[in-house]
This record gives sequence, structure tokens and C-alpha cells, in this order.
Amino acid sequence: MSGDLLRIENVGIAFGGLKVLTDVNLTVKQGETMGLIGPNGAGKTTLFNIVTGFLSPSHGEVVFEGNRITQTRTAQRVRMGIVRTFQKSMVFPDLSVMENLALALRARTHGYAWWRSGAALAAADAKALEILRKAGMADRAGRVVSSMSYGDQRIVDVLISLAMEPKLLLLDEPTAGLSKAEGEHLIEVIRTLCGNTSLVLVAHDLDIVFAVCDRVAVLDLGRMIACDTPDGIRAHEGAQAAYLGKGKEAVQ
Amino acid sequence: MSDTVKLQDAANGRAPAPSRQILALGVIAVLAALLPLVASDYQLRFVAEILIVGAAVLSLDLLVGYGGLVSLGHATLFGGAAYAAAVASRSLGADLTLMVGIGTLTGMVMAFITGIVVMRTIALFFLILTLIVGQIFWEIAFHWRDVTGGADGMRGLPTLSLNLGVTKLDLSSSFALYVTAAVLAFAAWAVARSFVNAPIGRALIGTRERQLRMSALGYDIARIRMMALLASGAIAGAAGSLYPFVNQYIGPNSMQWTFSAMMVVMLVIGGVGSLYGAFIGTAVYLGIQTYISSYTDRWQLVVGLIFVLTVMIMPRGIVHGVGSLFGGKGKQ
Repeated sequence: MSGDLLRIENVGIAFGGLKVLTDVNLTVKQGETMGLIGPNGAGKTTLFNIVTGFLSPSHGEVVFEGNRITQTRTAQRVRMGIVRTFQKSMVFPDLSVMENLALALRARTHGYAWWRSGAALAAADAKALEILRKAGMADRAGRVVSSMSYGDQRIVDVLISLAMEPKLLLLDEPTAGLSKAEGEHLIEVIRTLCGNTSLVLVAHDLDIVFAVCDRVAVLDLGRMIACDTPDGIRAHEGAQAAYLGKGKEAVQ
Repeated sequence: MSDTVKLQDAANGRAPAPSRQILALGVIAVLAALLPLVASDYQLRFVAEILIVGAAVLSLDLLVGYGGLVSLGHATLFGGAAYAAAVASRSLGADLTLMVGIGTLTGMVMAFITGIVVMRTIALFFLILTLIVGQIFWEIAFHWRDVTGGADGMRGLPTLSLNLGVTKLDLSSSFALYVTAAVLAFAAWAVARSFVNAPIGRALIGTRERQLRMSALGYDIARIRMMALLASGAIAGAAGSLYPFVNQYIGPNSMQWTFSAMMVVMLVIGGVGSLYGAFIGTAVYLGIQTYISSYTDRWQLVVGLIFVLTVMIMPRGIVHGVGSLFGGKGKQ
């Protein structure tokens, strides 16, 4: 890990009179895996929306690779290397697995082309196949996504984002709705394919978060109450009170 | 064929075994070639009208079937191009290439203007805004009497011809119009199919299915929709440019929202998202309109009945319904 990739500086947002985020500060380093946890309604997804440009903060700044991107459009942020997933599966159900990935791969280069450039398409297809092979899904490349199990759809969902070769990947509850084994398999696929990509992982499965993350940040009622190593967070009284629980209830 | 190639073909929408498609095209080509031998002049002209209107409905399928954008202003692109060609023909003559060029350009310009207004909307808002923009164009055509003939429309147009340099081919006969319309319909289908299978077409499908995800992948949704609208406008405009020369008349009804609604009905009957279903739906609708109306003024009741039955029995249209009987695949 080296320098800061993402800096969130005093970011706040309110919807009407409701303050959803209040003066949130967070730094993600190059190659770091950051966990983001907190109870429902804490503002985790809202923070993702602000980092990716789906929402503009009421105040504060988002800095990526040293550039202030608070007012930068989503498409531009994606080109800079910020990619996200969503809480719900966002695959393209009527397209094949490979075409799902091809859509992502084409986005940067020839996604708007009016004709089939054989060479360009072949290059994108080859890359998509390579990703599928690494994920162990090459045998399902031609399958229509809607015909696959939910667990496989979630993997495809993440692969779409990884195909973008992001510098920063924001994973919004990628294991939601999956069994323990499926969740662990998905995380394994992510770790295999992400390379030096920085990850921000939102998940309610704290075993996974504490196992894979270098640091963990805790949001509660829109405030960042702690950010530390997994061991530090386990011992943090504020985090225990807000989310982890104490004594027998505590997450080990 | 290697597994990799098969996978790539599947991913790109190419049919791994195109023999069925080639067979279908061959059957259609043979039937189209035989039709002039058995059909009367009136019937040939009627089929030409089906092919021309069908091409316009096909262009609507690009928006509805692949982009999820239901337009009630599509007749504007078709009728506007028809008026442009008719007006130009009076001073420049009705050369086929010129008419198609003017129609295509007019369709694209009108699609661009419509697009500026509607591109950031979807669903009901898209529907209503296309209706409003379409009706503005219709008002202009309806009240600009000096140019468009107002409510009376335009009659007495020059006959369609094709300038071959050394000679001029007269295209006024029913047979010539039929052949011209058939070539146009095939070209429209080929262009639309190429668009759908190109990256922009796949991106359009992406916006239909997961707009939010497409934004998160860095796609400009408005740009994709504008491109689809331009392609759709070009095809509708090309089709519209021939329309006045079939019956030697063009009137404001061809731009009115009711004609747009009729196109949507034709598309739903034929099959949304199949491209060629547009021609089937158009044939059914115009067939009922033409032949049943000679028995009763209430022919629209028959259209309504067919529409309801189609939605109930074959909710994805005749093409998909019949296709599923033979084990065909669904829409992309």
C-alpha cells in the first residue's frame, strides 16, 4: 500500500431536514481493502452515491488521486477508475454472461459504435473470456444471465465491475442474499481478480469484513465513529455500542 | 468452429447456426418475387404501402423494443419526411435517390429536435413529451397551408422516377412501386439489424434493462438514446419519403398522434423487439382497414379484437407467438 487514492473530506448531505451524512472523513489508500459497516440507514450507500457522483454532497469534498472530483460527472469518474456495484443485482438479464462483460469492456472504447468492428469486438470478447476463465465461469459464457442461479448472477454482477479495471471498486453488499459458502466464494473471486484495485466493501457479514479488510470504518447515523484495523474496531467501544454488540452478542 | 468462436458468436448476438434465418429470407424472397405474377395492380400498390409503413413501424421498434421508449410522436418523423419529399418534388422533381435523401435527412433532423426535448425522460414522460412535440410539428403542417396544403394535404405530385444518368426509369407503375418499396423495406431491416447488433444497439438494450447500471459503467444514457432516435428517424424518414408517391397524396393525418398510436398497435400485434414483426403487424392492421372497411364502418372494432386477442394469447406479438410454436428464441 502506498499513497492516498481517495479522500473524503468533511462530506455532508441532507435530504430536506434529514441529515444523512455529517462531516464524514475517510481515506482509502492504493491497494487497500476498506470495510464500511454500520446499521441500516447509517449512510453507507449514500456515501457510495456521493463518491460515484450519483449524488452531490451539501458540503465537503471528494478527492481522487489528488484531484477534486466533487462536481465531476459520473461517467467521467468511471473513466478515472471509480466503479461501483449496487445492493440489488444489476446484471443485464436478457443478455448472455459474456455480453454483460462486453458491455462494460466496450464502455471505455467503442460502446457507441454504429458498426461491428471485428477486431475491436474480438479484443473485448477475448478479454471477457479471460475474466470468465479466471472466475471459473468460462463454461457459462454463452448462457443468458436470467437463467442462472442468484449466486452466479451476483458473481456476474461483480465481474462486470471488475471488467472495467477500476482503480477503486465500491462493493455495496455484494454478498447480500447469498449463503455463507456462496458469499465466501464471491469474495474469493473478487480477491483473485482485483489485483491492485482498492476496494471499499459494505457488508453485514462481519466475519467476511474482518477477514478480508485491512481497515474498517464504522458509520452510525451519518457520522464516522471509528476507522481502524479489524482488531481495533472490535475493541472500539463506540463501534460495539452502535453495531457490533458487547459480551456474548459481540462479533468475535 | 472452436468453443471460443461459438462463445463469441453467442455473446455478440450472432446466430451460431444461421441456416434458419437464411431459409426464412429465401422463402420471403421467393414469395416476394412470385407476388407480382398473381397480384393485381391494386394489390401490388397495397403491398407497397404495407412495406413502406412497415419500415416506419420497424424504426419505431428500435425505440420501443430495444430502448423501452414508447413514442407517441413517431408519425411526425414519417409524415414530416413525406411532406418534405412531396414539397421538394414539386420544384426538384421526384427522383428516387433525391427523395430518399431528403426524407432521411428530414427524419433525422426532426428526430434530433425531438431528442433535445425528450432525451432525459423515460416511460410516461417520454410518451407525453413525444406526443407534445409531435403535435407541434403537426400543427405547423396543418396550418402552413401555402406549403403543405393545410387540411387538404398535397395532391397532384410528380411521379417517382430513378435517374440513371443516361436514362430515366419511370417508377410510377404498381410493379415499380412494389419493387422500390421492397428494396426500401429490406434496406430498413438490414440497417436496423446492424444497429441492434452493433455496440450502440447492445448499449441501447442495456439502458432498457438497467439504466442505473449503465450510468455506473460510464455510459451517457442521453447520448445512446439520441443515437437510437437518429437511427430511427433516418429509417422512418426514408420510408416517409416514398409514402406520398404510392397514392399521389399526403395529408396531415400522416403526422397526427393517432397515426403514431396506430404504429404502436401495429408493432404490438406484430411483435415488439423482433424488427420483422413490424411488417406483420402493419399487414394485419392495414389488411383489416382496407378489406373489412368495405363491409362495415366499424372495422376498428375488429382491430381492437385482434389486438386484445394478441395480447391475451401471444403477449409478445404474432412473430414471437408463432416463433415459440417452432421452438424459436425470444427477443434479445
